Amino acid sequence: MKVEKILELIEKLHWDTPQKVQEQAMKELTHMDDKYIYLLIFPNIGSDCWANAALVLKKIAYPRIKLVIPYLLEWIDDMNCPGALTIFELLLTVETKVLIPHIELLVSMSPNYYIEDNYGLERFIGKKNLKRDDFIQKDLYDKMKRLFSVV
Amino acid sequence: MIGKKTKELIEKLHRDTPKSEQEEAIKELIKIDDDYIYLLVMPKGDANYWENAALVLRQIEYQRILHLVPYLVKWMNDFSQPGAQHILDLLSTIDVEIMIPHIEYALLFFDPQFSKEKMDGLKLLVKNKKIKKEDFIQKDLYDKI
Repeated sequence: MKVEKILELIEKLHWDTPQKVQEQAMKELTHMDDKYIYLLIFPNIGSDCWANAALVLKKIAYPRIKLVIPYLLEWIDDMNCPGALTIFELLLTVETKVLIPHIELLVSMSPNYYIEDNYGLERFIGKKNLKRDDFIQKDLYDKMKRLFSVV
Repeated sequence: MIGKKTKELIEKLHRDTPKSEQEEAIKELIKIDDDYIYLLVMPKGDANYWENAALVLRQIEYQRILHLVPYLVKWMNDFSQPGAQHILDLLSTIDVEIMIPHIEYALLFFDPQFSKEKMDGLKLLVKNKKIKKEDFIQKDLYDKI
């Protein structure tokens, strides 16, 4: 599928598009070349199509979304953001061993206030049942837990 | 589980470690298990380790660090951070087609007028790699830089 076609289909993810056209676009987009999957992360045309873009990403599924995990973790930082719940569910399907480096990097590279307010991450750690033992850098787990408890 | 030796080698990347030990650690860490390469991205949140850690990453084949590119772009983007030049050199070796998604994502929420980030590193990368508007999929993002 050519990238022009992909961009055209992404425009059809807008929630004002007729339902059948939305569904057809979503179905076709799951077959896109993996190198264009990133275009579904917060599509540039506006938040009106994010909920559907997230649904496509969930259908594309892990491991095809492996290279965009850092961006998906940013998507869930605000659970009110369109599509965040869908992305949350998608991330739950990723193996713990694959997730841990990304979570550790998110905690180590972000300012404290970002982690303190990251309710999506806090909820994800609980739902995925990630424990201190799963972390390679235990001090980052402790830091994260301490920051969650600030709020 | 991460080996004690890997942890010790990362400790030796500190800029105050005797020079010969730093060099030996850099040499050894190039062979680090792929599962632990991420520990070399701005290690320990302590800038004293970053210059040498970036030197190690620069010498690891880029196929082994592809999953870390989003973090490397962030590292390089604040060009005042230790190691940023080495990370720029590393990212400059990666194919344009692989870099474009990450460059576009970095620009997605960037507002040239109001964002705090300066995109210094990103601008240098685009210049080094002679990336043109035609290389971008989302052309409007190119206009931001």
